[in-house]
Amino acid sequence: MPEATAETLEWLKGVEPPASGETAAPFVEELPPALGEMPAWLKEIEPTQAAAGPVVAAPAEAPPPPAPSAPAESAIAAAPIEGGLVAAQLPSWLEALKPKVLEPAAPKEEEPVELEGILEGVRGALPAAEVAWQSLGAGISMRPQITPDELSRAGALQELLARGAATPVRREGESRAQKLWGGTQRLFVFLVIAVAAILPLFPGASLGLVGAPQLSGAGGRMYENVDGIKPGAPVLVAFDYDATQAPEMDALARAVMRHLLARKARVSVVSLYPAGPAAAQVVINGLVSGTAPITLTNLGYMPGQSTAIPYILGTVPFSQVIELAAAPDTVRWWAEQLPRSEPPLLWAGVSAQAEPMSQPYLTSGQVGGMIVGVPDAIAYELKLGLFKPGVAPLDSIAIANAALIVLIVLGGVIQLIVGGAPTPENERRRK
Amino acid sequence: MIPGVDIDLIGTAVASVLTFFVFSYLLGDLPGLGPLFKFFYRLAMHILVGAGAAYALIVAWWSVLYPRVFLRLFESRLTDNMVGTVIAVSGAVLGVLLLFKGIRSLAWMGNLSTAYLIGVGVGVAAGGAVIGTLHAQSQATATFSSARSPLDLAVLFIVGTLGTLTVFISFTFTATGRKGLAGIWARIVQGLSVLGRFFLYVALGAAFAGVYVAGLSVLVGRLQAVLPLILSALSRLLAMGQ
Repeated sequence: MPEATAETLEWLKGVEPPASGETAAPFVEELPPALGEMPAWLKEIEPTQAAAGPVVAAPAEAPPPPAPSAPAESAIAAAPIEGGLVAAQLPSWLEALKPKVLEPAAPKEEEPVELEGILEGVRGALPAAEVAWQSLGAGISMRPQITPDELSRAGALQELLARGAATPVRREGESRAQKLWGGTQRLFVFLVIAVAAILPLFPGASLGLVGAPQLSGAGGRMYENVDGIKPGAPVLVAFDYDATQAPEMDALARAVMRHLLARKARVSVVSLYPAGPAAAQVVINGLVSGTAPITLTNLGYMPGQSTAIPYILGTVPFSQVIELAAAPDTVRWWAEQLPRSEPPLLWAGVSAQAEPMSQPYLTSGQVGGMIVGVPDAIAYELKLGLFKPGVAPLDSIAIANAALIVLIVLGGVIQLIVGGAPTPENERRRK
Repeated sequence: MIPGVDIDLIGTAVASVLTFFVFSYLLGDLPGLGPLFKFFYRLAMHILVGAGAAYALIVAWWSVLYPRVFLRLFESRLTDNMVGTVIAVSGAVLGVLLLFKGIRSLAWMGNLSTAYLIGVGVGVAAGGAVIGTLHAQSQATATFSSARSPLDLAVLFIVGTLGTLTVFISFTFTATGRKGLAGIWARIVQGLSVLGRFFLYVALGAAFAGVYVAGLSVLVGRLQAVLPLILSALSRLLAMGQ
């Protein structure tokens, strides 16, 4: 501290440090103040413990921490008066908060280790999984009881889903004889269906099992509609199928197109499938060769699926739309985008596969008429009379259907009697 | 066209061979020759996929890109058609941006094209679904009774309603083994669930039958195309042998 100089202020002189050699008295809090200086209200709460001396600041030497043991704890609780302090009586709620000595934990049951996925090797990653299986109801287990049969079926389903088109998967545990037996069964089914389908197609082998087909109500309406088209009327034909469905759909397309050309309609062909225009061109080439000139334009592929339809309807002139569909989606797209009118604007020729899902649009009147599959195509051609198709395909389909039904029934009976082939699954079932 | 060569005949022959290649999948289990048949099947599949991809590329160029972008752009420039130019350029730009979706770091650039495609697609599809299917089918159901006899109507409505409701119930899970009212309710739900599954089987069976008949029609169609060729080849072989 610097010495006071002449320049030191008067009020500062009073706080000047003591003379050299004198030590400063230790700081002691002045408690309690004189009673005479206290207000009346404070006197009432003055502690009665008069013997208690002034509170001294905490000593520099801290007491040792209590040992974490029960006897030591009680010793602290019952500590004698020391330096005028009395051990307080702790309330029960505070007692409960006192730290307790932890007992060594009981050895836990081994938690399961994850065996697969990104948690592989981690122990107890899903501790709630076991709890989740416990039922809230009394005595009802929510853990599914999986039987070997169900496991077998699940395995077969998994196998089907995992199977690629060209990678046949063998079931585990099948012997060579069992594999051969399975292959022979498949070959047998194939041969039966093939013979049944081929036999009526041989020239001169007209079995005549199926008579000349007749158009149904919806097919008849379709025929009457096309028959009523005036020469020069613009008709839009949508070839919504590709080469994979052509053998069935071409029969329908040929019948309708032949009728349209006979009515001298102005035909515009479009397709919502990239391969559709090629399929259409094959049909057109087969019809136009050697006949009178026709008014027909193949506008090609229209990209955009259902979004292309408003564009087509806005740019291509049409009095009605004939949709040739192998899948029900395209029928729905056209039915949804075309406005409803009387008579209906939309008419359809669909495959047998697309019929069930297209039927509601026929029932609702959005589709005016509909021909379905090869039978209706042949019936249409027969009614038109311009080309006489053979009914051999119908015989073929009928015999193949009958053969398949016989196979299914026969297989079921054998399964009932014998219990199936000696595959591992059947062995498990027998046990 | 090559003189003296019947392209149709070659096409039919190639189609027939490929058809047999596809059918050879069924003979893939035969011991010894099985792998060879599988190879033929795979060869046919690879040809189908390759030819399909190549054809789609050609169609995309000749049916979409050339007439709708390049030709339109050229024509609109010639005729000073500003609107046509803007439409063609917009389409081309959106198409090019879509290509960036293939590059991970620049994929965000294709978001505009994707957003446009999804927006237009959803707009058209949603509008069509509401007006063309939901409203039209509801209206058709409401006016269904006009041309039906009361017995038909009763059967159709009861079977239809029962079928719909029980199929919904068949997807409901209920705990078994309970007692009292909860147990009775569980048994009722279980019974209806079985009925619903029956309706489901019938519906799936009808769908499968349609798919099967369509497949059989395709098979018969192919056989009809292939059989004359085989018979012709056989008769020629026999004639040569004699």
